Amino acid sequence: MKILVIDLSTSNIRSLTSALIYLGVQPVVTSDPSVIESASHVILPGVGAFDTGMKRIAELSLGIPLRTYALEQQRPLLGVCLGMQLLFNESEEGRLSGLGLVSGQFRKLKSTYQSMHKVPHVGFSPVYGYRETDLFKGIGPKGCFYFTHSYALQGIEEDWNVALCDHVQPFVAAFQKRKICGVQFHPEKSQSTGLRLLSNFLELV
Amino acid sequence: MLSRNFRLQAVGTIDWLFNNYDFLNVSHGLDELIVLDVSKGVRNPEAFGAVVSHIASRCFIPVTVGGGITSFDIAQGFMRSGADKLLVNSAFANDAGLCRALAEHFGRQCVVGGIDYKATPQSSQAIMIDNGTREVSTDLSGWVEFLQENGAGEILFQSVDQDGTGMGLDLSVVDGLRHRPEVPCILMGGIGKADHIIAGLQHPTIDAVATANLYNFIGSAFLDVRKSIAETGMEMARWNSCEYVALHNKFATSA
Repeated sequence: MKILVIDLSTSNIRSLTSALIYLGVQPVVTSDPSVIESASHVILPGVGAFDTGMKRIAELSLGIPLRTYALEQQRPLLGVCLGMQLLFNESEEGRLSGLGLVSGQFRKLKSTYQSMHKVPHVGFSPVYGYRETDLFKGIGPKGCFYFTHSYALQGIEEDWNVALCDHVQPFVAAFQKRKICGVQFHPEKSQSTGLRLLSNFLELV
Repeated sequence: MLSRNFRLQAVGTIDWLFNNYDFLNVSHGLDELIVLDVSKGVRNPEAFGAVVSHIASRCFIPVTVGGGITSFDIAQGFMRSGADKLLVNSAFANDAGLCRALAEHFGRQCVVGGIDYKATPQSSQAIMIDNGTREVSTDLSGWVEFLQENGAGEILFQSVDQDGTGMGLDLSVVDGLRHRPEVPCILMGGIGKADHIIAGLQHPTIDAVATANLYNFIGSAFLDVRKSIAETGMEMARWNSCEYVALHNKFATSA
């Protein structure tokens, strides 16, 4: 196994690598586009603004290797938090285009006084609606994950395996489309449930 | 149960904590962890960062780090050590520009504004900084708004008077605010039993409660508290702690 964690230097990737090391693998932290094609698994983490993330991807020339890896080689790719948003074509938050590996729209969660929901959405929340296969194997119903975000995927067109979460309104908390996976939450901060999800990702081949 | 002020009682090194109290197991009962440097006198942020790093590498929940954040470099050092959020208290009075810079750079969800308050002869809610040595305001509502305007994405209220008493949280602190804070509010100081936690979480303005009184919660006590809370009908995050054993080094042979 050759597991890459892409370092966009926008986020604290230390906890993600700690989680992978706990599972018994030695991830390679890199921003080198040339090593992507030889990876068995690629994880794209990120926090912060959409455009900042896409700018870093452009500066590091990671766009084409990531597309080739995910769409032509069809190997497992996991986007985490902002990393999930970058897999899509666009976000209401940014003006730049995303990687466009999958299509869907991210919109800002809008706090309402009646709902008492605060934005950003911070904390552990249960997710639902997924089939317990592949990425969601053994998670059990209503798996709880740690979220911290203001923008959320508001709907998808195709029949992916999708986990939903309710905060202000229902949104897509995680998805798997063949080998392309994205999670809005932080599996590396979600106790053993998050470690299980990461383990499931590593089992995708 | 009455207890002493545990926050300020030296109990041992971080290794002592890990060796004697199965701290990682305790973390399985927590949603989040706050690690504070309460050293008196000159602080050593590098050494404290190493402690943070040690904890964060084996603790798969969000970690908030605080104590002695007087510069951007110190804050960045804590973030690099594995902190997910920064607890900032005195800096809001001493250098609000630093707080705004932290929110700008790391996002305001990373900045937790801490408010230590206590009763004085002049005020029932005097806001204290610099380890409780300096009073900066007696207008709690105004201070909450000031923190929000200067980058705080969450607010941690700590009653210095209740801290370590085990007599319960000061729920009245949020009731007296002119405006309901827009950001999540955490209440700390005085938790001595599960009912105190439940009372805090049932309050409509309080999003989370925190306790430093670890000694009441050794072993599975936090998991038991979570069960008691869930029985009241409140939604609590649940996870299967046994999974930690099953997943540890699961891929080690094929790596």
